[in-house]
Amino acid sequence: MQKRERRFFSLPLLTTLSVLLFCSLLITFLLPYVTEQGTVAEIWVDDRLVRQVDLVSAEEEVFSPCEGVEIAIREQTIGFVSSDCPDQTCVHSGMLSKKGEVAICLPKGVRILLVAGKDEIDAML
Amino acid sequence: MKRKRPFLSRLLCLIFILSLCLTGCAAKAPVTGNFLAMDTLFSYSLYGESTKEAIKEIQKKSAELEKIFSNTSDSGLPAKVFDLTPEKELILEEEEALLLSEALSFSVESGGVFDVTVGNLKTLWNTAEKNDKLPDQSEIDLAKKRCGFGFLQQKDRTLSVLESGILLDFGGIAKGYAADCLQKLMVEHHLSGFISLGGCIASVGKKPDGSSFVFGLQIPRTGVSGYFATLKMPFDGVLSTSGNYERFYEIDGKKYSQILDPFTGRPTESEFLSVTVLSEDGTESDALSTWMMLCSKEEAVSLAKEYEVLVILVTNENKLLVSKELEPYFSLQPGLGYELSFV
Repeated sequence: MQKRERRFFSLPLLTTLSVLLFCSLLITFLLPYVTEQGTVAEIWVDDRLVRQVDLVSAEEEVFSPCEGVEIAIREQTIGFVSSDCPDQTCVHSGMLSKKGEVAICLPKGVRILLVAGKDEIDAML
Repeated sequence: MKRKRPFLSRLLCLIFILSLCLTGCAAKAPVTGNFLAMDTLFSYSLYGESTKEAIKEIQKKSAELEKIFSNTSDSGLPAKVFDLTPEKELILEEEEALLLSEALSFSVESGGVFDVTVGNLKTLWNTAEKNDKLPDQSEIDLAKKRCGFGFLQQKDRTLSVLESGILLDFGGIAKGYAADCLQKLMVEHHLSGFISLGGCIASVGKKPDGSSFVFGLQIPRTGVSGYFATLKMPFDGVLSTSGNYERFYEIDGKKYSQILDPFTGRPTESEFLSVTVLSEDGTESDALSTWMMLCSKEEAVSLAKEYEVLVILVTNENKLLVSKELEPYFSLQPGLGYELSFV
């Protein structure tokens, strides 16, 4: 009787493993490029992330993350449009559209951070 | 007898092994976050194993520094020095002594152009903005009498004053000092990444794929977002920017710089819209960026050479003067009308 050949990896097992691993790696590599197409803005009030907005798909609107502060989203940009803070630094920051940009209203503890996007920069100075 | 399929089997083995190798190369996402301290936003993006512990220490250190250098807290160094009379001596904490000593060194070296004792003038102009009325010359002269680094005498951790009522202002140096402290923590925890704190960014190492961190330099115009250039970090260091476009005094409908000229007691009418300094030392880059805002173009370029720091200067006429050492790392955005020269 011919001795049966034993293999550590059988062909079906190897096929399945290879396909699964290859697919998962494709997702790992491609996912960041897919998600970075949209510019994502985070709105924080004190230590709370109150909202995340994909500026590419977001509808135009003006909303208030806390009393006395208004933030507008329009034409894929976001920014403070009014605040009852004394120095108005937040409103002077203008409308943001690029990854790494931030606008902050210190007296109200509100900030907008553009955390993802197709721009080449890691942060703005 | 069943036919073997050696080719297919080997091909699958190869894909399997290659896939395993690639798992080590997959893009790693940084740990990001933000918090408020020292009257500004701190945001970080860190790569490495011990990010959790490092972030805790970064937040703790920032809170400690805020307490020390705040000019609104009764326990801060400015309040302690303000209450000091010539008959007494103040024993400084180690951290207080360190930064005050650095600030006084820059005050001396700049001949008083950068002066850590302009707190009383700052208060005067803050009040003027609140009342929407420009201060009189007599009020400016009065405030100036209580300004001047020569009123302070520091020997190690002992501080004395020649006049009482001297108010310190660490606005032009404290963030740079904080950037140094936080950069040190990143190194201690073997992290790469960056921490942005208002007008300063402390950067360490490179991204896991070996590429450098890239920072956008904000267009120095009020109400205009976006960046006019990008800079790839050529080495570990701190970038500091001073300018008049984000924070300013608005009195009677007119905008005034928040950087005060200690000699006139008035807001500076700088030749620059913004000054960015790159140095391995954050305290130096922060102090120099403030100092250069009060200089002429020629003086600023000469200072950069003297201190061996790299600069990006944006003048009021939209001219860009960039250290020639930065040429391979600097990239100007097209269509903004800046006239670039490397110096």
